[in-house]
Amino acid sequence: MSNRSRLPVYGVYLDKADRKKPLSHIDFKFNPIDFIAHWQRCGATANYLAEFQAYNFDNRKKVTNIMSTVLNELIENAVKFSADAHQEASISIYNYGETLTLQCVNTTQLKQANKFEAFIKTLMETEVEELFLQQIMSAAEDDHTASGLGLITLKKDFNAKIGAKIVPDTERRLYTIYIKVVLDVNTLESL
Amino acid sequence: MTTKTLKKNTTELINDKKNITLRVAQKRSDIIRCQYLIAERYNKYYKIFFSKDTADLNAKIEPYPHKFLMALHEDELVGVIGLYTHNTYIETFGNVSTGEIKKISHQLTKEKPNTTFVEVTKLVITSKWIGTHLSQLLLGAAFSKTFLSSSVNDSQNIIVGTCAKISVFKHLFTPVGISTHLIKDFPKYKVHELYGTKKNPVQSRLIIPELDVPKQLYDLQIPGTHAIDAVKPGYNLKTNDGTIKISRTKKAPPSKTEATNV
Repeated sequence: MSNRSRLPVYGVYLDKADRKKPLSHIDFKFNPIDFIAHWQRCGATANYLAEFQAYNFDNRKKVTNIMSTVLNELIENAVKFSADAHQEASISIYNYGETLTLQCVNTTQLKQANKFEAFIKTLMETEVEELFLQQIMSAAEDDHTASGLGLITLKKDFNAKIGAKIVPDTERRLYTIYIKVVLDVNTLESL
Repeated sequence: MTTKTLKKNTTELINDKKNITLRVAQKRSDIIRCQYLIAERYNKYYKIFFSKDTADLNAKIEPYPHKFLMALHEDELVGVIGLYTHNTYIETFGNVSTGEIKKISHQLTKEKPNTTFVEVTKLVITSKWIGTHLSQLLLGAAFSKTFLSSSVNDSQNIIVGTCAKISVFKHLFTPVGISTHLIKDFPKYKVHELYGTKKNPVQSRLIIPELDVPKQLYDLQIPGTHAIDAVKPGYNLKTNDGTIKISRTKKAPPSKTEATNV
């Protein structure tokens, strides 16, 4: 990754940026150590943020459940794969009316960044049902935590559009991972 | 090894000696500091998370100890060791029954077992203290009468359990002079995937403090300030109560890791 001249950018990050001002916006900044020390804060935070956004929907209960699942996945990944438990990570939610955009940012090490990039490439290039089955099988064989099943499930079950970019911080030999999940509001309401 | 004079009531570093203050965490802020240090070290080395409410060893979520012994250097928390005072780890997850504990303790003491069972656990030190004798001091101090009985009235009838891989018993307990008695191998859980191995399995063991812990450690003054040496041959650990000689096993360096499942 370090030899590349251009940044690795995938999925929705390649789409034309949405210049619209969000109708609703919330940023949540956190230190992974708070979640490592009390793992149930992942669920509690996901529930709070989901409920906060769900007020904009007709079916609040259903949207809260779906949003909470998505957010929990993003928060858990950011906590698990952060290079430094005291390095700030963040999650942001933007409501544009027709779409909801969730963005998670955390810092990780080269090994994890490479693994993540390989996974994101596969996620972009492989049919989601096939990838889901593959990952189920390999997760069962390896008993591997970082199976990526969560992001695959978001794409498969919630028709989420996913994007990622990996920004190197050469000075600290770390990588900032940006993950974006775009959810269609009509799809969410109809699930 | 010559022991240098330690100025009383000072944290000044004299040659390669460092003053460590030990105290049981009582204040809410101290308890949180201990929990966060344990969580940080365990996550760094073993990718483990913690919860106050729900432990799930296959999801790598561990329960916190109920009591914490703090090691402070110039007010900085540099190490922690914990104590389960009820619902111990080896009883809850290690399939160790009260009957087994009583049977082994009866075999060792020949006394009618009427005891309190606690478990010493979660020894961690910060990175810059690797290669010092801080781990040994903390481990020894965890077996002091004061800490073991910090949540019970009767300090005479306490039996201690612990859970660690064999190499930890060999390289940490034995040099400090603490004897341990095997109860059984710990069942396999995902939480130990980065800790124990087939050749170095995790075991549940039992310690009768009055029999198995050196008197200097059992009577160690807590709260109190104690001096430790940096890495040097001969392993001396000077406490307020006198110098404890730590024997050196063939391949036993001072602790290299910052967290052990003890």
